[in-house]
Amino acid sequence: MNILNAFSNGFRRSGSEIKMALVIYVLNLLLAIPLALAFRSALAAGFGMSLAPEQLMQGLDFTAFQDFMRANGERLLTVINQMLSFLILSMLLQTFLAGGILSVLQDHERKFAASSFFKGCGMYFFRFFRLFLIVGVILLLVSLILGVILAAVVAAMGETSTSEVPDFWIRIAAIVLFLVPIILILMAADYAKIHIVLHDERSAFRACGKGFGFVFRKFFAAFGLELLLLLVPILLMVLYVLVDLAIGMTSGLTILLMFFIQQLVMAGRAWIKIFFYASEMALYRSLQRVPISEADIPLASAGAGKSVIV
Amino acid sequence: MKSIHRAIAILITWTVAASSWCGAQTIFKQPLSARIVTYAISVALDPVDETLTGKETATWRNTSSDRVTELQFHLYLNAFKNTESTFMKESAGGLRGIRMAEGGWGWIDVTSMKTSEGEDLTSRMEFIHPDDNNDKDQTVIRVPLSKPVLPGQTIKLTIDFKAKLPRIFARTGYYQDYYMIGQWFPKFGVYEAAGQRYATKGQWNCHQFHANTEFYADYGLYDVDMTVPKDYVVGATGILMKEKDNGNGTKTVTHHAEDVHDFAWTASASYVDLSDQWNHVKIRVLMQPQRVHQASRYFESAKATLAYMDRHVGTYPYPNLTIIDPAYGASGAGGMEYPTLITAGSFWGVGRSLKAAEMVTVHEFIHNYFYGLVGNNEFEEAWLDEGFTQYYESRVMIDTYGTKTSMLDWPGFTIGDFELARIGYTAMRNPKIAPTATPAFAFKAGGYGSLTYQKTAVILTTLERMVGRPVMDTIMKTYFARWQFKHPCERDFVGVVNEIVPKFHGTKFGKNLEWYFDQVLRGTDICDYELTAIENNPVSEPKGRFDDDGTKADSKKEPATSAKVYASRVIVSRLGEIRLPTTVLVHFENGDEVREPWDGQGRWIDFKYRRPEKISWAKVDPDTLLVIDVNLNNNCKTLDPPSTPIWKYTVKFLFWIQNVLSLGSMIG
Repeated sequence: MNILNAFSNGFRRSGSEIKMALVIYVLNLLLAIPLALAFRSALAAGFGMSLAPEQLMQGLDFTAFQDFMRANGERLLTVINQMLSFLILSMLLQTFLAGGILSVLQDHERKFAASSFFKGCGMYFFRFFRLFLIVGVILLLVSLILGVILAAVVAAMGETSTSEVPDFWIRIAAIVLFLVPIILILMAADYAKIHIVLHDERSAFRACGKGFGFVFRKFFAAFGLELLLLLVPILLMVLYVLVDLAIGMTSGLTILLMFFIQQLVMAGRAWIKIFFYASEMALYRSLQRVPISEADIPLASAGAGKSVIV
Repeated sequence: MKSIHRAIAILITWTVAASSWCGAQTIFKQPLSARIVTYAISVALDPVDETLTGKETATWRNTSSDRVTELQFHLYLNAFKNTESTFMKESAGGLRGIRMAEGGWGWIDVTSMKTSEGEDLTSRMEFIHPDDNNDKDQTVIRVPLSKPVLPGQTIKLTIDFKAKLPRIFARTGYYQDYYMIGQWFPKFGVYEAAGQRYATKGQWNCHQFHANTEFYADYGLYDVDMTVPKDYVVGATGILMKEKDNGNGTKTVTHHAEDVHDFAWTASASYVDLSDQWNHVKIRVLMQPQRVHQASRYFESAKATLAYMDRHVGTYPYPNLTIIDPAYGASGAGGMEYPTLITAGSFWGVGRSLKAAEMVTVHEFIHNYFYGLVGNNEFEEAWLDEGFTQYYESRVMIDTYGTKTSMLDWPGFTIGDFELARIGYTAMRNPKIAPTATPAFAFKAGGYGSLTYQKTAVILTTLERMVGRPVMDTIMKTYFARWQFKHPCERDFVGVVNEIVPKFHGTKFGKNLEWYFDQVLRGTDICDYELTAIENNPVSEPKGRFDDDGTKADSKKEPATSAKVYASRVIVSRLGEIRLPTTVLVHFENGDEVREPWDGQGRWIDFKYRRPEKISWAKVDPDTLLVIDVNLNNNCKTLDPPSTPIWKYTVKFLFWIQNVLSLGSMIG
């Protein structure tokens, strides 16, 4: 029941935060545009005045693509190599934005306002950044240890295998066994952030402990909600793929149409992030019975002061 | 299972006698080959220690005019004996991305060799190393004879051998209850008389087993009795003559093959035995149980290949074809050709959009033509079989599954078989590393696969497009008809090309095509033509002071009403060293087109025009005949490059990168 309540509360709460989703989407777009333009320049320079790109219109022509890569692969690789630095930038940006999102979501009555949103971003950034570093290290260690163990188990089980069928399912099981702890860590990180915002927690370590504590104590509720929430982006992407296959990108018009659809999907993904936080916060509040009081809200806006149990 | 050891000894004696019965059976009314060798082998597989115990009666006929004083044999399995064999040193224990299993060694010991007159030759056997100085390599033996084999004479030997199979590696071995047994018996080398291929004097051609090399042998007859556990399904070269239950938990399966130059077999308790028919050919598929649903892919592709090769090259004369689906964990035995028996490879759950199972079936079956029926020396001229097979693989795959979809057919992303072959060559880091016409074992610094398989396919496809498909078919039919059941070499194939092309094209390509093969086959240069520039300059009246007629005068003013004329020019460059005749297509803005032939010899050429229309685009090699050109994208130029496709991929990339960057929100 907690799960469905949290899910629906989260949906309602995030449903009124379209503006916030748009801000997050636009910032993501702004970060991606330089790379996309660099990619475009590399393509345009590589093909020069050639007619060859026409062969790429109906689909990715393997010969034209490979000949391009042979002669101009370095240009594209330069762009791809820049991605890592942009990914780090993006993580920092998301760490920054998470503070704003959660500070807005913590108060039911509060609506998105750019000033308070960015204030929240700034206020929690360093705490969230420390948390990001801690979670990053945990993720790395768990991935390495789990990866090595599971790879060894899979190899040992497959050594005498006479059919790929059990091996396939063993590998699927190994992937699931790998992903579940990763998801749990990421969930703990989310709940740690929620704890920081709701309790004005200063210590990232303590918040991290609280996050993990919550996830393990309320495992079924927290993990159940997460699985339910994960269905939303998965459905969105499935829908996108179906639309992409139906429309294709074979003319200027369909390219433009798909561009708008893609950006709609990305805006949707930004909203889904808010939806995740809102639902997780609802669950956290309901299970931890966290009251909302003026004292709990460092950035209390006018009108926010009554105690609410969600 | 230990009782099998005792059973083996009894059965070998019995089956040697039985083999004489099989020898009386025939497949072909008239011999198709010279039948220089004859093998009658009785072999028992011991599944407990993965060994073969065999007795072989091997006969060799001297068809040369030489007095042959020694014999040479391949003992291929010794390539897997230890880390010091030439094969293991060259391959570093890995082949086609598969590592040899720890402790999975394999070897063969000849325990006895006697002539039919009873002379024991065992002590005379000597390991030799004709290709290198590796005295640890034991893949070739010579046996000096006390009495030479005179021209026309036959020598018959009785050979006892014991072999330990390697754990599946490099085509052969065992994996659990799956056995793929190739290169397993003592096998004659080829005695080449002076004038045969490159021999200047009579000599044995018997190379060591190398990492890159395959095989070379004379055609003949095989009668083989294979004793295996009773519940095993056996597949082998040739036709099944009989199967006998030995009453002791084993059975003996007898196969007979004619006019083939190798014999391989397989046994497994797990096989699902399926069959189908194409004209005179019975197609048998030995399938792993979990992949039975994939068997139709083997049948369909094999039938398509049989039909195509029959139409375009020649008739497959044998009455059967066996396709082996290797066990999971035994992929090292996949993708290999033997006469009338091939190993393919499929995978549970892999859909038809990826045509790997089809491709490997098509490829390995075509090898029954180029290697099987036309028996070139794979050690020395692998391009004659691997390259030819690759060329026909693309033709069959394209004909059956589509030009752009014959390897991969996903929405928005397809790969054609020939596209993949061409890229295999053009995307090489160093395509100049060696000529294609290099012995397989001499590719010491890499490039064997790309230059032997893929570049040859590109060479042949370029030739086909230059001379035309019908002419190419005539070339290949002539080559096949003339050289089937023989051992041709490069000059024999090029000779056929030089004979056929002038019949159709006169001197269009010169007296012969040696110039072509010198560049693409015997040389290492690359081909790259480029449409370098298009210029359109408005023509204006001459200006300034002129004294052409002895009188000094200033230029006239341009009449205001004169129509515009452009001095246009197209510049084409040859960036590579290879020179091939080509065409330049020039397209004007009013839709007019002009085709300009160019012999492709110079470093550059320009074509000039004075017309009221500008040139809008131009293309060198507009019909894409020269697929050997390593960059087809630079073959054309336009004044108005298409920007929509660039935007299409920019938009796709933007979406992709936005999604990647969004991943940051999971941890950030």
